[in-house]
Amino acid sequence: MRVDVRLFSVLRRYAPEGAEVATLELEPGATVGRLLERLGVPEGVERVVLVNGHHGSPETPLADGDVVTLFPPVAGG
Amino acid sequence: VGRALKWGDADALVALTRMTGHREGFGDVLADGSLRVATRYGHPELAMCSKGQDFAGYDPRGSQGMGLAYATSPIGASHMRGDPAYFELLGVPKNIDRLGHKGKAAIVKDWQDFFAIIDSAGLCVFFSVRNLMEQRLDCPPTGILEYLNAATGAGYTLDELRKAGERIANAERVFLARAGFSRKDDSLPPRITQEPLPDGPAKGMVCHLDEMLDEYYPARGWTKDGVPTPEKLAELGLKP
Repeated sequence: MRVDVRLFSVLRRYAPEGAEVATLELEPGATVGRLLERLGVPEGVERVVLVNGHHGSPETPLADGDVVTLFPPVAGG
Repeated sequence: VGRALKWGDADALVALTRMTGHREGFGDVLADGSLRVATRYGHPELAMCSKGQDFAGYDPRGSQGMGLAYATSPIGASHMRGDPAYFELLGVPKNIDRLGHKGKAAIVKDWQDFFAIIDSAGLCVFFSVRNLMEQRLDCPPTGILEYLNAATGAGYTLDELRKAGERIANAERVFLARAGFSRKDDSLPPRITQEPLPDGPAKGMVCHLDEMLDEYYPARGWTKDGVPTPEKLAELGLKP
């Protein structure tokens, strides 16, 4: 299955070839955790994960065509 | 700017920013702020404001606690008087369902009191939220307590510090109440409370402000019209 990944700010460094939007081929039934592993994002790195705009966790299962967004938890003020 | 304005026209946005700064042409109208502009054209309800202050970067239909914070902030729709984006959008200290409204009032109250402490201590919100509070939803300011006691030797207790935050929120509210503000002013535009979001992950949502206010005032020890009770003020050492 194919999943689109969008990485922002300092997490861009984990993007395949530095692309803002990347499409990854994952095995069926893969989770967000598996995706993070594929991208090489270490466990301790602070990040907010959205799957199709909703909060996700490492256990969230992914489906073909999902859009996963990763950004660091920063607020503006 | 020489053409009809359309959503997403970035070039027009840049041109209008300059014109607004210099009060040139239509920029002279825009420079009065969105509420005055909307009022001038007969539709004050279209300004995305609370107490005349424009929203920060969040639509409260997709971030319910943010709506309550906007509406009850003494300075209007600011996110700098207790910022629910932390727990509704960023998962700090933990993720709370951003679309739910039940139980949000008590959390928002604690964050407003915490932000009053941060401001009064002269500290940075970003640093304080991540490093100077216990990573719990009720945000005990243990780190700030340590700083203050080290700097002043005053020997504050955690309870005293938290009461100070609550006292500030109440003193501000008493000031507003005397100026005629009450529940009617803790409001959001009808677009936010009545028009469901047309698309996106929060599709169909409105902000449940009234329900949250019904929980918020009791959590604050205020009347159902949003005025601090003499008992609450006495508890905080404030004169009614």
